[in-house]
Amino acid sequence: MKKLTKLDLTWLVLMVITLLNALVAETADPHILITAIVCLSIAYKGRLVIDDFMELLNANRTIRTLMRSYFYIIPVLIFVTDLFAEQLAAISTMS
Amino acid sequence: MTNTVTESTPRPFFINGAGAVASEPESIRKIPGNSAVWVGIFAELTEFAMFFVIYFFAKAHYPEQFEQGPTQLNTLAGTLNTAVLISSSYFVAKAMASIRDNRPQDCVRWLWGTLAAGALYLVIKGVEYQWNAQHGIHSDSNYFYTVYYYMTFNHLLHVGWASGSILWAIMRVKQGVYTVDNHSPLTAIASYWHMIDLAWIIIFPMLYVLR
Repeated sequence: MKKLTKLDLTWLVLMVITLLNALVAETADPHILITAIVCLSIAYKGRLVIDDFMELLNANRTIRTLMRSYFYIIPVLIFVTDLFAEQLAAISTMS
Repeated sequence: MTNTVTESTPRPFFINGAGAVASEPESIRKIPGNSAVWVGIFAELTEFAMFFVIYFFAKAHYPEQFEQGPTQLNTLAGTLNTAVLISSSYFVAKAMASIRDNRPQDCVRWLWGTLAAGALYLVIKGVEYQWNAQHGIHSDSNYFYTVYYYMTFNHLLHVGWASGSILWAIMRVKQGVYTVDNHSPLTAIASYWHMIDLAWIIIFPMLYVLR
């Protein structure tokens, strides 16, 4: 039997998370906890693609840091803007 | 010092557990591909980040539209496209492992798989847009759908022209230009393709999952 490589395992994990996301989309009601879980899944999926598929794990440090940061910052922004939606609307409304 | 050791004593090197190659892959401690492609990648990611910021503000101002919007979209199409793009990224990674292992024919096969995935993505997106139209969902229906079309159509364009670059890579490998010793342009194309997958990894939950 052919042994699974790290690439194969990464693909499997990404597919499972995608299916779980779809399940959430179809069944779960809006909740801040759901938002938090989805944001974590975005960060984790991004990290897997960046480190394993894109091969940045051992590549140039600046590029790796910038790419990883993108997948920390955007999920955090998704969560924070969901949590403070009213305040965001208030400060961005022209009187 | 490290380079001297590597050159004088070639040894099997495993990249991501994908297979042994004779020496260190070009991405180790270096910029994968070339600097120019990374300028492009960061420019594209900045563009997508601006879309995301627009989404944040629009969602804050029109919460009802952004709560109802995802429930009206075709989740199956979004999920299938996510699976297709993730698989395409996997195919590209396998193509890179193949060229490093001096298996150009395998590399070409994996790249054809990537191209097929790109084409399938475009077909699914086309079907989804048609399905939307049949259900009365248009870009001017409300702010959620404006953001949805703006974001997804822009992403679709990226998949389209990146598929062209994959086709170019297939030609160059078949011509013997990209080889085990010379494939940094293929690495650059692969990096760009992964960026498109990464953008969708954020877009999919924002538009189809979160409410």
